Amino acid sequence: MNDLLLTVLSMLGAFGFAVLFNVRGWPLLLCGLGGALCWGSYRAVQAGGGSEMLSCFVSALLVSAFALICARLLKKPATVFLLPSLIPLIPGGSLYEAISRLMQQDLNGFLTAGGHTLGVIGSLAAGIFLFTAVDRLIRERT
Amino acid sequence: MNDRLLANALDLGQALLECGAEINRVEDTVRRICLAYGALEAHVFCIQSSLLVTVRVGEAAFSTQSRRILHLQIDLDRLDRLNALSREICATTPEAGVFAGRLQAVRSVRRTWSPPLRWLAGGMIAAVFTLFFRGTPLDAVASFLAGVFLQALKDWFGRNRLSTILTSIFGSLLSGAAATLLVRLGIGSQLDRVFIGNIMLLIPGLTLTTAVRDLFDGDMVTGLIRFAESLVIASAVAAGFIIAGTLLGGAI
Repeated sequence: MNDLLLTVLSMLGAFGFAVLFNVRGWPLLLCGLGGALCWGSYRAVQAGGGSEMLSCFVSALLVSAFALICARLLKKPATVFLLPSLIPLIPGGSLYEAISRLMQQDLNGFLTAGGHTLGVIGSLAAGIFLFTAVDRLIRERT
Repeated sequence: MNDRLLANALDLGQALLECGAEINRVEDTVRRICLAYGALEAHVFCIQSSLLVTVRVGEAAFSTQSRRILHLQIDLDRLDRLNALSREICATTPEAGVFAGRLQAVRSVRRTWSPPLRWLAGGMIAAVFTLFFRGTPLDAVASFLAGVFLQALKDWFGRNRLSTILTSIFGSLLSGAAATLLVRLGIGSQLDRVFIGNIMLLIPGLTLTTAVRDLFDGDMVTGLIRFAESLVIASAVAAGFIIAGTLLGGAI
């Protein structure tokens, strides 16, 4: 399936979760845009030869930056934009895969899927953490 | 700063935690409010299920209060309004009665999208992820219908204050059964692709990510609790879908 379609789907997915998380008004559309940015940047880094973990990390950095800019412009907490925008890369599928393998006593399958889940989640968390830490440093200095 | 004001500060912190604020934000907000009201020192300790604050109000005068947090449901609109309120409180330091009134005003109003719209959003998410994982358009239709059903179910469980774990078990079991029946009726063909869309509505992937973020932030206790919590919930979800798939649809 082509990347454009997947990016549109990411946008819709993020938008849907924004509705469930009670985001209201304009920020809803921004969350959708964040979802597209999340998946788009991930694919772009991958197309440039980056590994999956690196792509997730870069994507998380960009999405955090996007969420922070939206937050400053609209005077809302960055979390409002960050949580829905991350949805396309949240490895719910492989988390499910890992647990269901474990329940079927397929330990190799569990380790593969579980390792993948932890890798992606770690990269995402590292990206968000790094961006937030740098932002805090800059703000405390000025 | 008196005990009533301290109670207000904790109530605000509790409300923030309950709608999904980061631990950092809660600790920071409560500390700022206490200092704004003239506390000499404010020691705030917060984990995902509890908030503990001690303030020093005089040379040898301390005051401690705590709150137990039982329910967490992500509500970003309320988070936004509470955040705005806390900024205003820090800037204007109104008296305790006014503070409590303003907080009550934010807490009593829950601005959600109308239920049918939430159900549609749930269905859309399910359909989107079915397509994402290479399901056919017909699979996506089945996923959409099961997703609408699942979201309605989740909202109903939520209104009746069912625990997250029970919501996950019953939600996955029933939406799994619905998906299986739809596929048997000929709507969609690949059951696992239909399942994956609905799984996305239940699996605590975002909680797991938040957990790791908490660990990086140095909130070890909260990080570990959330990590364990999301693994337990993921197990409940997996169990529900596996049972539904084996009982009604043969192998998954």
